[in-house]
Amino acid sequence: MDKAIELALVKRCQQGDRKAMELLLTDYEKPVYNAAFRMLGNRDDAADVTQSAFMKAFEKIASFNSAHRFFSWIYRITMNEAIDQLQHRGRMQQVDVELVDENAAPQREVDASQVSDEIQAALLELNDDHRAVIVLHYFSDCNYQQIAETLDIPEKTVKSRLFSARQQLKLRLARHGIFSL
Amino acid sequence: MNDSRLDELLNAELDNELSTDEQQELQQLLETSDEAAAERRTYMKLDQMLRDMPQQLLPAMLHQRIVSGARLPKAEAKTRPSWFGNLWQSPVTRFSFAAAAGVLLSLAIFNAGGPNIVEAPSSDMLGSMVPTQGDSVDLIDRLQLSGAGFASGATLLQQEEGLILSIDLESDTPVEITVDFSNSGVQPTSLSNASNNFEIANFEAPFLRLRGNGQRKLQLSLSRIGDATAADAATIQLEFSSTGHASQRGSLRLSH
Repeated sequence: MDKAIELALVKRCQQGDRKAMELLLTDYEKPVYNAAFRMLGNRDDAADVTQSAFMKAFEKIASFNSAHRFFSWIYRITMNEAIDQLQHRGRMQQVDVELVDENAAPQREVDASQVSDEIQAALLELNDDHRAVIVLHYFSDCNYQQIAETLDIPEKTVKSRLFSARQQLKLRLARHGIFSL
Repeated sequence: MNDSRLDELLNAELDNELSTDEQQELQQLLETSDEAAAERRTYMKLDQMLRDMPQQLLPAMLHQRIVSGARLPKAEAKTRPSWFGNLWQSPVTRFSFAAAAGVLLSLAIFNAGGPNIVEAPSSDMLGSMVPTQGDSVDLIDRLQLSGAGFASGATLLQQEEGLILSIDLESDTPVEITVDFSNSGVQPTSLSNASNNFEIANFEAPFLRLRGNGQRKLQLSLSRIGDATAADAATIQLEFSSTGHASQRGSLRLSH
């Protein structure tokens, strides 16, 4: 969404305009839900986090700083909500993080659906910080600067986390036989 | 050269962050080391697999759950004479309102060659928004439409320079959009945001035709033609040339 349009809609929301609220929601609910899903790996939890994030954003819209983008704000709330959700789970569902197997599994034939499942499983094995940068970069189309603003970290940190996250994903997917090293 | 440096260069390459020197450094590595080339293929594949991950559909009713549960700050009491009177102090606003008086912008999406044009539910048409004073950009109205493989939004804005019509599109297939300004009293004078513009943009009054797929966006500056006060409608139509999906129609309205 164009920045000027987004800002105009936020101003309307700040004045209590529910039509503007619904327009903002319509533009961002799908990408926000997808980001939440990739963070959590569970549709119901992603829906709860999406709902909670938007409700908090709109409730606090008066405090929104117009120097920033609304999408950065809603993604930041979403990431925080997702991480809270994960902590609430007690990380019970987290796949046991093993040391990288030096003898990676041989590459095997898998269909697109299996690849998607394997990647999602590998994502869930990353720590929250690394998963967040991957999610924002690949599933929310954020660049370094936008990720930095969303997560409130320096761009240099974004770059290093993305680097580490890719390395870990590469090794874990190789371990699962998705591709060879 | 160690593996860590190679990984660093390959990651920078994925993010288009390589300097000229680093590009040369990486190129030398790739030419002299089969392992480096294999590593590059692995990162490229990983990158592509991540990009190919499917989008998840929004759960049914989630939108309504949020809308019904969300609370906004209490609406300010506004009266028509207040905003209208203040807005009218500005010559720019006066001119723009005169130009746009009674304009009705209708937006339609339909299949190429397909008579199957279906009115969108009224709930999808979020109605007019009356400009308020003090904003550098005033949102007059916005319409959002979506269907199988596409999503499109059209926004009518009042800026200092005049009326702006912004159109954005996200579509899996090539889409042809026809903007019909018949009887609107306005017409496009210039396009902006050309960096991500539609592949084709051709204006033959009263129709503006656009074509594109993927993510596209443009803004049109609108100017007054003829006797604007006599005009009462303008229509924007979006035509899908290659899909067979059901069509939709909505409208953007500016009233005063």
